Amino acid sequence: VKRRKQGAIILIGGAEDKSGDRRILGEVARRARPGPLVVCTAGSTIPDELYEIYAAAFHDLGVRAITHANIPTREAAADAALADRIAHAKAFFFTGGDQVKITSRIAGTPVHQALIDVYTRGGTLAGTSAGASALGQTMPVSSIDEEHRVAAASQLLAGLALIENVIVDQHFAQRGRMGRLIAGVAENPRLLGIGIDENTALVWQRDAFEVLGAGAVYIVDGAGLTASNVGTGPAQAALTAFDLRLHVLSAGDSFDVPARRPVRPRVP
Amino acid sequence: VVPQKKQEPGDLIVVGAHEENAGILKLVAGRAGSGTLLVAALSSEMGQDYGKLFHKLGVKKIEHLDLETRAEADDARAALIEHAAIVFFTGGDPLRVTSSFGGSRLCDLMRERHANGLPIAGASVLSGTMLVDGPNEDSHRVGDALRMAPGLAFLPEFVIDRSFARRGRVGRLLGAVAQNPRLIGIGIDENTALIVRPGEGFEVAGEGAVYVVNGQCITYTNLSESQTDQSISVHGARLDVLSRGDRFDIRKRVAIHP
Repeated sequence: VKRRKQGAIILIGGAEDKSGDRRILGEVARRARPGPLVVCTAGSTIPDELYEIYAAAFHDLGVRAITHANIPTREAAADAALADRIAHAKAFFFTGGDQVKITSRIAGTPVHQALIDVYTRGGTLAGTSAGASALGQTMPVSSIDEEHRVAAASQLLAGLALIENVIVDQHFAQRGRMGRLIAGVAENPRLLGIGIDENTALVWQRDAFEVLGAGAVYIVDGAGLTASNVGTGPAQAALTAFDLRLHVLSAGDSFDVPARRPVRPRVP
Repeated sequence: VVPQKKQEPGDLIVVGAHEENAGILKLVAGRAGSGTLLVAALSSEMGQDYGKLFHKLGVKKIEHLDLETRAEADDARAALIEHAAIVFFTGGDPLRVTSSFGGSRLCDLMRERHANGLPIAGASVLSGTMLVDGPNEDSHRVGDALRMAPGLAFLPEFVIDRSFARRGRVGRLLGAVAQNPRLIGIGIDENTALIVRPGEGFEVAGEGAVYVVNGQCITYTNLSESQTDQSISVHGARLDVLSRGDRFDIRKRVAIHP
């Protein structure tokens, strides 16, 4: 069954501003108002603390009926009442933490289906940091930051795939993650590589997304890849990957996904 | 006077940041053969340290060219360059190297000897445009003071950044290339080197990767716009990531896998 994609997905690169202009959380809130909004801390080791922070920020931004989905276990994600609460929310927000906690607890459960329902009904799904990676089809999980190694190409896991054919990375410039994103794209060039800086986000609607926030969004397009060593090189070898397209997008830029082409901001 | 036969220029070895015992210094040592390795350093202390290092790597004859003050073309210094089998520029502030050595008669002499086969090793001072300083942690912003300066220009086509895998570096190299896409952006990982045939191409050696950013196909950048705190946009750059044994053709701007 082909899903009707009417909602919006907001991917945030982590460390979004929570007390200043709150540009990014403001965009989530704008779409979540008046509510209900479910804040999910499944990835976090400090769920209650994180929930309090985000609930206060979103309340301040005019969202009402904010509730917490803690989901400490996979059983919790099978709970029909929770799934029902999520399915009827106007918006859903994943905090950061560990993306594997998010996917291992939620993938394939009624809560996962409820997320799909929110989206197909026209609601908004958002995630920051690990929560952003989990919403994509493929998540980089290598701990090799600031290097370019073949090993990172085999350290990818399946995400919740609310957005298909993408690999989403976060804290991008701040943690030096270009190497692991390129390794992921070289492993399967059908996937579009998306690296999001901190305090930066993209809003995905239908077949395009627009960038907002303070930093950059890096797009690695491997469709034209002519040579790589990710299938042949030893794990510790440095990467080879020729003929990648690289786009750096900033606030106001958008990206036409089927055409794999950036679109510059409209001249006012 | 019999006119000298025009020779090929010497190789240029661009070394990334490295540990003391890094294998890439062996590349430099190996080129000295039985000849003299001339260590060009900003301080005699740094020069002596590298001298010891190259001695351990089997180099028998080591001389020192002091770049601490503006180089004077006295006969002794000129002779050092005349008789060197290879020159190695140590690290340190590249602006101090260019300000003491650039445009000097000694530099002219080195250029002349290089044109006739003298190999030279070093880092960003060899390039046409040096990336002196820029944002490290975040992506590059339109108004960021990305400090670039003319280098000794043995490699006029390149702008070179080192320690490349570190946070934020890709953004600043892209910013440098987008400012003038005539330049080929080169980002070198630690313990990694390029062996360059001037004007023709290079091969990658060492443990890490080398990024080559080609800006000829860039379709849009916001770098010349007035919103200085805006993050940069660069649409349509081409990126090649090369590792040991990979080559790059400078004229055609294409990467070649062995």
